[in-house]
Parts: sequence; C-alpha cells; structure tokens
Amino acid sequence: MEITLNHYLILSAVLFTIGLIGALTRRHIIIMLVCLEIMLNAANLNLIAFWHFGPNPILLHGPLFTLFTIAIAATEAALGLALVLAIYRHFKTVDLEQVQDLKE
Amino acid sequence: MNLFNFTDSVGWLMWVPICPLIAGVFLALLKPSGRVSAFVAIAALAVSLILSLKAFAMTWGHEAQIETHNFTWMHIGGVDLEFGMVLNALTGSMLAMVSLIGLLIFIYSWSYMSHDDRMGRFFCYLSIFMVGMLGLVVANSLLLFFMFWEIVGLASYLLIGFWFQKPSAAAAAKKAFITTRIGDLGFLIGLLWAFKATGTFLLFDNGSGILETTQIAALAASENVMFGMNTAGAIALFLFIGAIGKSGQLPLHVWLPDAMEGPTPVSALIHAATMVAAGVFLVARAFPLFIADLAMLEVVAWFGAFTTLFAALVAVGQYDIKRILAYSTVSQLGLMMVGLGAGGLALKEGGISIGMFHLLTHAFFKALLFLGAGSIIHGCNDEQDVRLMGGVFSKMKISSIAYLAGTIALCAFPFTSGYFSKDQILLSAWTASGPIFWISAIASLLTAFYMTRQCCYVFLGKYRGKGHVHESSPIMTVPLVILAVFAVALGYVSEHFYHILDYLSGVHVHQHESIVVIISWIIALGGIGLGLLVYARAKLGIDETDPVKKVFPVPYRWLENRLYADEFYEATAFKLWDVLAILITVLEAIMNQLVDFVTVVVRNIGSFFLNTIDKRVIDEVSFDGTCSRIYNSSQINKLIQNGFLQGYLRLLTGGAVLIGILLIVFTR
Amino acid sequence: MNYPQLFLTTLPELIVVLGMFVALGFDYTKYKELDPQTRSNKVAALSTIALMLGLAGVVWQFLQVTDGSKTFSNSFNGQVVLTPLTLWFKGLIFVLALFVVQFAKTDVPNKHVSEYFGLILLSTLGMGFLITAQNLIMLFVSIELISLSLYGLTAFQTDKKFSVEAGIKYFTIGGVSSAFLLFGLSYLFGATNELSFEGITAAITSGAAPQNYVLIASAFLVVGLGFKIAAAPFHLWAPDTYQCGPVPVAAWVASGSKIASFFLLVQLFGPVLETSEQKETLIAGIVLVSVLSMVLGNIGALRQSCVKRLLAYSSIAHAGYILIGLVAANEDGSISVLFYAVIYSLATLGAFATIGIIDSRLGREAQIDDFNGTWKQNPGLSILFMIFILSLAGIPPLSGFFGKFYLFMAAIGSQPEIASWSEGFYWLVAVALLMSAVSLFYYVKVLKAFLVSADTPKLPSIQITKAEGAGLLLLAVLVVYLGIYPTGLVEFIAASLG
Repeated sequence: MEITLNHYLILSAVLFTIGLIGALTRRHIIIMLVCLEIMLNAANLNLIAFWHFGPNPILLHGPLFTLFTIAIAATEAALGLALVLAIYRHFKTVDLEQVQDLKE
Repeated sequence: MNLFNFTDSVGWLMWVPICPLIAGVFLALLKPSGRVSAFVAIAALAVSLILSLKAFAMTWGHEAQIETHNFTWMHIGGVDLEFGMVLNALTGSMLAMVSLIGLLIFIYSWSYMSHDDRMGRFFCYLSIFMVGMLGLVVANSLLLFFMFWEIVGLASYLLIGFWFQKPSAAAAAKKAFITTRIGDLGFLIGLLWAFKATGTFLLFDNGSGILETTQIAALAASENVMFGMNTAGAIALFLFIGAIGKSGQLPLHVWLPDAMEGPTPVSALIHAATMVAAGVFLVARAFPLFIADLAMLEVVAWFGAFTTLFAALVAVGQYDIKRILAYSTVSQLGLMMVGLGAGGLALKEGGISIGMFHLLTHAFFKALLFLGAGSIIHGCNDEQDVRLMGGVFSKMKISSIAYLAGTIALCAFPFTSGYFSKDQILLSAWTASGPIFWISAIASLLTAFYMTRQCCYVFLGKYRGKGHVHESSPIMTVPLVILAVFAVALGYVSEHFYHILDYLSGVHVHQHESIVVIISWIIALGGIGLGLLVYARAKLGIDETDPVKKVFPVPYRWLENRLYADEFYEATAFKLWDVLAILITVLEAIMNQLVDFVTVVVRNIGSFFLNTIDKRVIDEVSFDGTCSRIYNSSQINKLIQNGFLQGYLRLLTGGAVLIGILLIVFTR
Repeated sequence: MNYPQLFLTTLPELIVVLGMFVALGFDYTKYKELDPQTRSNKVAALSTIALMLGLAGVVWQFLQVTDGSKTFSNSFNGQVVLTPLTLWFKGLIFVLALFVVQFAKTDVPNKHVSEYFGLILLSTLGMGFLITAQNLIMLFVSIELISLSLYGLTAFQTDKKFSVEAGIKYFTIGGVSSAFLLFGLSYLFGATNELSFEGITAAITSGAAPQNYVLIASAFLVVGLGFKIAAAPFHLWAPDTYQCGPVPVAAWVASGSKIASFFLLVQLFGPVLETSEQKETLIAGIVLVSVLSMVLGNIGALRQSCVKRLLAYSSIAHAGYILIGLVAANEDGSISVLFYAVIYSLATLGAFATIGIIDSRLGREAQIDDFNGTWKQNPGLSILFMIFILSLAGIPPLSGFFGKFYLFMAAIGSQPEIASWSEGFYWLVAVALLMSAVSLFYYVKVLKAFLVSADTPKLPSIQITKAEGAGLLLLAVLVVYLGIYPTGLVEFIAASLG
C-alpha cells in the first residue's frame, strides 16, 4: 500500500485527539504536559507531511518551521515544570482536582 | 469653521453649549467654594441666554428659513461624518426657553442648595446638564444629537443621585439612567438606519439632509419595510422608542416619578425644561420623517393618549406633592405627543406647532410648580406629604399665589397659557380621531381635578405638620414670580399678538371649532369645580380617608398603588422566572435575560386589567426586581467559572467543536 | 543575507534586548546588596531608557519609511515587515510598555526585580515582532514569546498560592490553545504551501488553495487566537489571571497583548474574509464567538466585587464588541477593529494602573466598596479613573463611544444591498447594544462607589509618584482626545491599510 498525504493527516489528527483527550481527562499535571507535547507534535507531523508532499520540497519550509516549534515546545515544557514545582510547594499535590481554589 | 464670526454664519451657535461647558470644566478642576461656583455657573449660563435670545431674534419673522453651519468631523472609509449646527424657528424658540428657565432655576438653586456643602459639585453637574441640553437643540446631525442626548442622560443620573446618602435616591438614579438607555437603544438603531439609508447624518444640508424633501421622498418610496411602514416610518419608529424612554411615555415611564428623589431644582430642570422635553423635541425635530408615514403619526398619538390618561388617573391617588407633579408631567408629555401625532394627522407640518406650543407653555408652568413645591416643602420643614400640610396659603403668600398661578395654567383655566396650548391639542385631536379626543379630554378633566385636590390639601384648613411654616428667601421667590407671569400670560400674548403657531412650524396654522372650545371650558371649570366640591369642605389629614376613597374604596386603592404598573410586570416575570429556574442551564439563563428585557418594554400595556395581586409582590418595585433577576442570572457564571481547570479546557474544546459544526453546516 | 539591513531592521529590538541584559547584569552584581525598592527604581530606570531608545529607533524607522528614503518592506521573506502602519503600532506597544514599567516600579512583587522587568521587556519584543510579522514562523515564535513571558509574569509571586494557581491555569489553557493554533497553521501551510501572509492570501483569494484545508485551518485558528484575545468560550483564564497576577501585568495582558492579537487577527483574517468563497461560513463562526463573549463577559461582571476581576470580565465583553468589526469583513471593519483595540487598550491600561496604585496603598485587593469617598480624598485620581471607566462604558464624547459606534456602523454598512431590518447584522448590533445596557449596571456601580462620600473613607489620601501621575494623565488625555478628534488616527489607519 502506498502511503499518501491523507494517511499522515489522519495519523496526526489521531495524535492530536489522543493528546486532547488526555489533556481533558488526566488529572496529573505532568501527564497533562506530556499530552500537550503530543498535540504540538501532531501539528509538527502535519507540517513535515505537507512539506514532503507539497509542490516544492526544495524550499525546506516545513523542517524549518518544525525546528522552531520543537525549540518552543521545549521552553514551554521547562516553564510548565517550573510551575508544577511551585504548585506542589503550595498544594502538596499535583492532582488538578485539588487545585481549584480560584473560582467564582 | 469660524467660531468667532457672530454675524453671518451660524457657527457661533456652538458657543451656546460651550459656555456652560467651560463653567463645568472650571468647577470640576478648580473646585472653588460654593458661592463662587454658583456665580461662575450662572454667569456662563447668562452668556448662553444672551446668545440664545440672539438666535431667537434671528429666527423671528423668518420662520421658513433654515440656516446651517456644517463641518466635517472625520472621514471614515469613503464617507464623511459631518456635524453641524442648525438655526430655525424650532432651535430659536427651544434655546430661548431652555436657557431662560435654566437660568431661573440656577438662581433658585443658589439659595436652595446654600446649606449643602457640595454646592460646587451641584453646579458642576447642572452646567454639564445644560451643555447636553443646549447642544442637542442646536445639533444639525443625528449623531451629534445622540451624543448630547447621552450627556443629558449621564448628567441626570448624577443629579438625581445627588443625595446618594438616601438609598432610594441612588436606586432612582440608576433606574433613570438604565431605563432611558433602553430607549436609547432604539434611537441608536434608528440613526444607524437613517445613515445607511441616506448616507448622511445631517438633518439639513442644502437639500440633501435627512429631513429635506428629496431624501424624505426617497425614504417614503419604499413600501412595507417593517410592519407595513415605509423606511421613513420605520426610522421614525426607532427614534420614537428613544423619545418614549426620555419623555417617560407609557411603557418606560417608571423612572420619572422616582426621579423625584433628586433635589427640587433638579426635578424642575428635568421635568420642566429639559430632559423630558428632549424626547418631544426629538419627535418635533424629526417630524418630516413622521409625516412621511401616517401610520407612525397614529402610533405617536395613541401612545400619547394612553400615557396621558394613565398618568392622570394615577396622580389622583398620590399624596406626595412632588410625585403628583411627576405624574402630571408624564400626563402632559403624553398630551404633547397627542399634539404632535394628531396635529400631524390634521395639519401636516403644522403638527410641530401644536406639540411644541404646549411644550413651551408647559415648561414655564411646570417649572413654576416644581419650584413652588420646593419652596413650600422648604417652608414646611422638608415635609412632602400633602396630608401633613394645610393652611400654607396664609403663611407663604408669595409662593402660594405663584403656585396657584401655575395650577390654573396646568388646569387650562381659560386665558391662561395652558388653556391656549391645550385647546390647540384638543382641536387637532377632534379633527384627527374621535377616541383620542375623548381620552385626552377625560385626562384634562382629571388634571384639573387632581390639581384642585392637591391645592385643597396644601392651602386650605389648618397646618397639620410639625414646626412652623415660614416664607422662603427672596432669591427663591423672585424666580417664582417671573415664572408665574410667564405661566399666566405667555399663551395669550404669544398666540394673539405674535402668532407663535405660525412661527414654530413655518406654515400657517389655524383651527377653530366652537364645540371644542366649549368642551375645554367645561373641562377646566368642571374639573376645578368638582375638585372644590369634593375637597374644599372635607376633613383632610393623614388619619382621614380621602373623600374619593370613601365613595370608591377599591378603584382608589388601585390608583394609590399606581395601577399596579410595576407589580403587574413583577408578578408575571416573577412566575415565569420561577418556572424557568427549574431548568437552569446556560442557554436558559441567557434566554431569561431577553425575556426580561422584552417584558420591561411591554409590561405596562396590560396593567389596567389587573386587580388582584399577591401582597408579597406589591412591595417590590419592578425595575429593581428586573435588576435582581438579571443580577442573579450571573449565577450561571458560577457554573462555568468553577475553578476546575479541565472543566475550562472542556469548555474550550466544546467551543472548538461548535465552531467546527458551524463550519460544516454553513459550507455548501 | 544583507546583514547591515538586518541590523537596521531589528535595531529597536536589539536596543531593548541589550538594555535588558544590562539591567540583569547590573542587578546581579552592582545592586545586589541594595533593598528591593531601590533596585526596582534603578532597574526600572534602565528599562525605561532602553525602551525610550528603542522607541527612538522605531520613530527613526517610521520617518525613513514614510518619506520613502529607505524601505524595509518585505525584508527576510516576510519575517519582519516594516510599513508605516506596523511601525506605528509597534511604537504604540513601546509607549504602552513605558507606561507599564512606570506603574510596575513602585510595587515590586518580590526580590527578583530584574527578572520581572526583563520579562516585561521580552513580552514587549514579542508583541512588536507579532505586529511586524508577515510570516507564519515569525507569527508562531512571537506569539509564544509573548505567552511564555506572560505566564511567567502571572505566576511571578511564587510565594502566593493564588498567583501560582492562576499561572498554571493560564499556562495550561494557553498550551492547549497554542497547540490548536499550530495545528491550524500547519493546515494553512498545507493548503497554500506558503509561509508568508502575502502568498497565503494570494493562494486563498485565487482559489488555488483547497477550501477544506482552509476551513479546517480557520476553525483551529479561531480557537488559538480566541484565546489570545480572551473571547468566550476560550476566556476562562482571564478572570483568574487579571485578578491574581501583579496588577501591571494584568494591565499589560489586557492592553499590549490585546492590541497585538487584534492586529494579527485583522492581518490574517481581513483579506481572507473580504474575498474568500467561504466568507459566510467563517463569519458565522466569528459571530458565535462574538455573541458568546458579549453575553458571558457582561453577565460574569455583574456580580463581581473585586474591581480587577470586574475589569477582566469587561475585557471579555469588549473582545466580543471588537469582533463585530471583523464580522463586517470590509475595510471599514478592519479600521474600526484596529481603532477600537487602540482606544480600549488605553482606557483599560489606565483603569488597571489606577487600581494598581490603590491596591498597593491598601496592601490588598481593592473591592468596589473600598472606593467609597475616593472623590473627596483623591479628586484627581478619581476624575482620571472615571474618564477611563466612562470610556469603557461608551459614554460620549469619550473615545469608547465613538469606537463602539464605528464598529456597529461598519457591521451594518457591510451589507449595502439589504433592504429590511430583519436582514444583515442589525440583530447582532442590537444584541451588542442590549449587552452594553447590561454593562451599565456594573460600570455605574463602580462610578457610584467613587462618588459616594463615606463617613470614614477607607482610602487614605494617596501620594502618587510623578511618573505614575504623568502616565495616567497622558492616558486620560489620549482617551478624551481620540474621542473628540478620532479623524487623525482613523485616516492614518485607513490610508495605511488601503
């Protein structure tokens, strides 16, 4: 079977959904961060696939964009972990259900 | 734009509102002492008065002439937004009236507020109020008109709530501001529509303004745009909604009686010369739009007729001296609307004269009545309940005579100014529509009756209140005397010597019908006679039952309770709310808001038919009820903003899915 | 690669980055022993100088571009595009940042002074780049630069529980939204095979791009950008962030970040909305977001007693109003969006700054009741605050009135062919007007508190610093000026867009 653009798109959509569902349901903050990474990587996969099957793969647009997003995802994770530490210091837990003091 | 050219252009008209503006800014920034503030405000308004009189003099004898001075405020896209000033008979007469009465009220307030340590701020607000009012009179652009209209609303909010230590005053201020804003909603839609249809905001612009023949003809050409009306009528309808809010017409009248919580000069300013007149003035100004669709004139006349009868009925059952006057104002405003509507049906352009003439005479005698009431309240040691007054006449001669002059003018006693203007309204109603004529006639009869009732309570018998009655200082009584002269003589002088009706609309207005004249004599004398018959000899007082109540206990109680106008709405909305509250979901919370707002608008229409009411509901005022309903609906926000992070994310995803669905549905 | 040109193009940013490092360096070495307040003053002075020099750079670029002696246009494949319009907005961002720095310096959250100002400067750079970006890569990088700095700033008071909780909520919702954004961008790239806005617009308007991809991209972009402008239902971070972050940061999120995001929205959606075949579909989505924002924002604000939270909800509602201009989908609409974004930012920055001043003197969050009697104690501050609030409420002649009016007019004027009131966007404008009537409830509540004279005013007489006073006064003057004479700005935007 030949693998076409659509296969990649479906795969990335599945990845994105997995990440999203994880983010919506998992209470552990760190797992949530992992799910965020999965969502970003689904988008990266899209970029590479579109670039690969696009009319002019010589321009390197896709990989360039992807490199930037990978770097950004890393900084985002770093900031997220720092926040998790701060949360743990105050709440003594990383369970999101315990972290809801701010509400109406 | 040459603002300093006082001879040929009318650009200098801008100075009429600018003078009080300068005073207002000066008072706000420098905060001088009370006396200095009063002096600055009065001096600035005096300059405005001189300019207004100049404007009046320029229009006198040149009725049909319309002078404009327009300038481009800004360009957006391909369109110019133009502002401007207009000078015609309507501007001239209204300017003269507003600034003259304004000045008298300013002088009166100087004495009235002299014990208040926030006198400076009071004059600052008063000045801002005058800026808005004078500005909308000179405005030659619907947008500019609307902007000044909003300034008037803001200033009246500040003034009504001036004594915010009283919770009722703060609530009344809020009520006035927000109720009139509901009307403004209509106004804004109307002006946007007018702009879209004509491409300009200017009222007069050498033939291409909204109110000039070519545009009106174009607007009237379209058939059945909305409810069978043409575009001109539809725009007029929306503008009229604004006028309903500002002029306290029936569905939105609730704020006006409550506005009595402000200091008395404010009541006079708001009820006589300015804010409430603004709505009538808007209809008069935009009259060509109304004439372009006769259905719209009938709407105006019927709204006015219902309002005038409703308020006159309610006034019979009130005991607070200022509240009686407030309902009488609502009633008279309704009568002005009848004048405009029926006058338009009977006389076309001449209708402006009918409504505006009553506006002008009413402004004088109602300002007089409010200031007189203020003086009496002052004299009776701040008592406002008429049952606790009595015998005031012998103690406060000047104030009382002035007050009686205002009363006979309001009762349309023959040859006072109210007689001439009301006569014209009844004459046009007679020509236009039988039912409207009879409704107005009954309302006028009631007016004479309740004013006589009030005077009997206040002036006859022995003093029933606490302390001693004393006459007010000359600074307060002098404006009263001046106003009293106007109240009595203005009608005769202006109609018979100067033909003010021809002047106001620029066309020749003449109507005569002997039977109507006879009826209006019967109304005035009959109402006063009936009042004297019932009240002159009766024992009056807080412990006594009102003579009318003895005969008709049940209907009178309805009147005392203001015909349950507030409560009817409260009962219906309350129940509706309770049913819906069971299924509290996001969607319904939003829907309830809409239901509530719609009900605010329509609630009073059915209130006549209501007679049994749950006691619990009666004490609540509907507007506050509505507020708390809306306020409570923010409960829904508690469900959304519940602190649970993943709940937030789920809502976000839900939104994304909803948008996705929308895209799929809408994509063809 | 033309390095001298690259240097000149990014000159203002380079200056600010340099200033930031100088500030960090001094703070870690020379100022180490000083107390936090002194350090804050010194670091704020350094940041101010850096921003001023940066602003001078922007002005220089602006002059160069407008008289045509030098063009920076379309430099570097659209990564940084300098036109009069982008430079003007970038300059505005720098000016607002200057205000924020002045307001931030009197009330340092903790001992990490230079990081605090450093993050503010970094987010400023992000906003500047976002405005000048005409390329998807730069767009994403600068959005993330803004977001990450703002997450950090929100959670800056790590010793406060609420600050951290608001931070993690902002961060998580932001993270999910930026995943949506990136996913949308990837589809946009896939649909057009272009990264520069110019190419993307050309591909979409010519119909070369597959419509399905464009639609998927738009749906995801609405979510990602909806988060940035705090539009419902992507707004849930806003109340917590505004209330619990340091006040200058809340002011910065509500003003600078909003301007930059709306600018992007206009740049990205403007051309697409004007020409695309799927225009109506997209507009339906935006209308949904707009109505939800107006309703939820205004209803949410009704009950608030904390003024910052109230302003947060009001900012959600304002996002809804602004989107009405986007719905118009014509040039007037774009102009009105940019214009309103500017004046809204000015008024909201002023309001937040005033609250920040009051908060810091009170030592706690200001509730509405705390303002009782402020008029008597602090007349100047009260007048300024009232100008900001009245402008937000849309009372003429302040700029808020005209801005709203223009938005509504654009929406109604967008469909010249309709003949009746039941078509077109009359209903949307009616909803907006109804909601602005509801909004009066809470604006009036705040106003009343100021005017009421309490027997014992809770606020002492407040001494504000010269910088704060000058900043507030300037903002108020701008709010009034743009209301009375909006032509200048509107015409400039119109000329630059057209």
